[in-house]
Amino acid sequence: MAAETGTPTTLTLKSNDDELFSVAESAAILSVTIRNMVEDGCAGGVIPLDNVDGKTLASVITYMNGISAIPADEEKKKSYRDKFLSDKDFETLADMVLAANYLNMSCLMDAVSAKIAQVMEKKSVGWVRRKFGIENDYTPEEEAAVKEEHKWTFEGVETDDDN
Amino acid sequence: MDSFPTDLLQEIFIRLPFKNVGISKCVCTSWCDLLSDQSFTANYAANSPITTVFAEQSVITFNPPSLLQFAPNGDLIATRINPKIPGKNRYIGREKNSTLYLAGTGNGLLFLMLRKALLNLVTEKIYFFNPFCKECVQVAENSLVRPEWSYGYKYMIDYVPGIKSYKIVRFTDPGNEKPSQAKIFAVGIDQEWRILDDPGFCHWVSVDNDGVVSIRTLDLSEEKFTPGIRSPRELTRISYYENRVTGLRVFNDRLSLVDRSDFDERITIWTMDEYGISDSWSKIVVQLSWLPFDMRKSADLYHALTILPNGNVVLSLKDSVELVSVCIEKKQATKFRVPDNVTNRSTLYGTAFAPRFYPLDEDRVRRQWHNRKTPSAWLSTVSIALSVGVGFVC
Repeated sequence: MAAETGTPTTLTLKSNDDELFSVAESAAILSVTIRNMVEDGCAGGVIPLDNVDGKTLASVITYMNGISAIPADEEKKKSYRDKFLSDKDFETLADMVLAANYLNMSCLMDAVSAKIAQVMEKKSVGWVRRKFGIENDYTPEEEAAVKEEHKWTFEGVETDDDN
Repeated sequence: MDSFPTDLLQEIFIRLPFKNVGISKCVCTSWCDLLSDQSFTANYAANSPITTVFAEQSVITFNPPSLLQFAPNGDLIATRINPKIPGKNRYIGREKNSTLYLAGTGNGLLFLMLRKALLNLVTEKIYFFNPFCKECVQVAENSLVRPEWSYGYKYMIDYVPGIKSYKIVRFTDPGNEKPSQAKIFAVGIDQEWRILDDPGFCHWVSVDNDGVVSIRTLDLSEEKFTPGIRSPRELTRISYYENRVTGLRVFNDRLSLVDRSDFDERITIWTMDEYGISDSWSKIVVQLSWLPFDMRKSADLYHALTILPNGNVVLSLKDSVELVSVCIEKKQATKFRVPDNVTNRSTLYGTAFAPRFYPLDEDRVRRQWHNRKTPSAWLSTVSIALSVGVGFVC
């Protein structure tokens, strides 16, 4: 582990599409995965993150820097997270939740999962299938039955053609 | 997009409001299996950041009750629930001379009590209602004749693992220093209500003649009354009237005592951090001066609805749908925007409620019910003290 000196230590992270990113160690260790690597002394050179692409990693690093700059004030951190996630589309959120899980960043995990749940709130079954890339494996009879059973939950939900 | 690992899906699903779990079940068979599994319901109950309370609306307006969900972002989601009479296309509680009450909650069920008065006879029917699956099962019935039906009464219902079923207890309070009485009915097992021996003064908040407060309860599996749990030291003696405005609740799985006897000043919520350990009472104080000016009323007009995961106390005001969330640390209160489908001029009462996303084991609950005789009237010469129980309005 880096010695406590005046100059902040910088780590180099590598995405699975070979992009390199510099990030302050103090921000990067928000990821328990990275922190363990640093503590085990495997962070000397470049840290390869095989499950995260460059675009997602750039976002995650923006978040790491942003959130670690905020002093211990849970309310301010929460409003930073809300703002950070407000303009993200579903695909980006999905990539981020997978990355947060791989990097073991619980605060980002919680915030992104909550955001996805919030986005799903008024969405149709068809929308959810498309966005999650899910094949409908119900038979037409089964689907009609399960929809009938939960009919009341469809009130106020957006409609779409293949709903 | 690659498919989501199941544990990540669970993280998202526990953050969905109640209704959206239904929509998600329609997506595909594996989602449906995941969401219908009992372990998901347990996970949702233990980890969902969304707090659900049952909100009973004023009986005068005949509006159906609602479930309210408090999302962490401050949204309030209301879902009307319309329990139907089993096997009929009519809603419970809309008939003349009948009133629907909440007798408790547990295992994702609402225990509803329909009281119907006709001439000299009062009938009380107990229904189990699963608001997610819309199942409604009648599990017990009581026919009461004068003077019994005029006494104060209360129900207590809970699941008893030993018999894999539910026990229902009805306490009566005839007042005038007559002894308490209670009768019990094990769902699917008993044919008739049984009189419980020696119930003593078996209310939950108990005040003896010297004004000494203790909390008593009933061990449903042994059917024995436990000795009192000591109330917080500061609260050891209260007057009869103060007792009327002191009630028990469960907040965040902790037995809590709400004291509203400081009418002009404050509402005090005591929570027992370790059940049964009387040294573990801790206190939360809501000063009425923190509340918005137009909501400032006497303390006894408020109901403590719930405590949110962030520690904020949610209060509702009698005879209105005003809801306020109080941050104790900041001494600040924020009003909730109540959804339009909750009608005006109704009172919101609440009790914490964790929904279930799978159906009742109806066979067990229904077993014997349809075969049993008409319950006999419970005639008794002795009876009880009114109790304000867990899961009840206070």
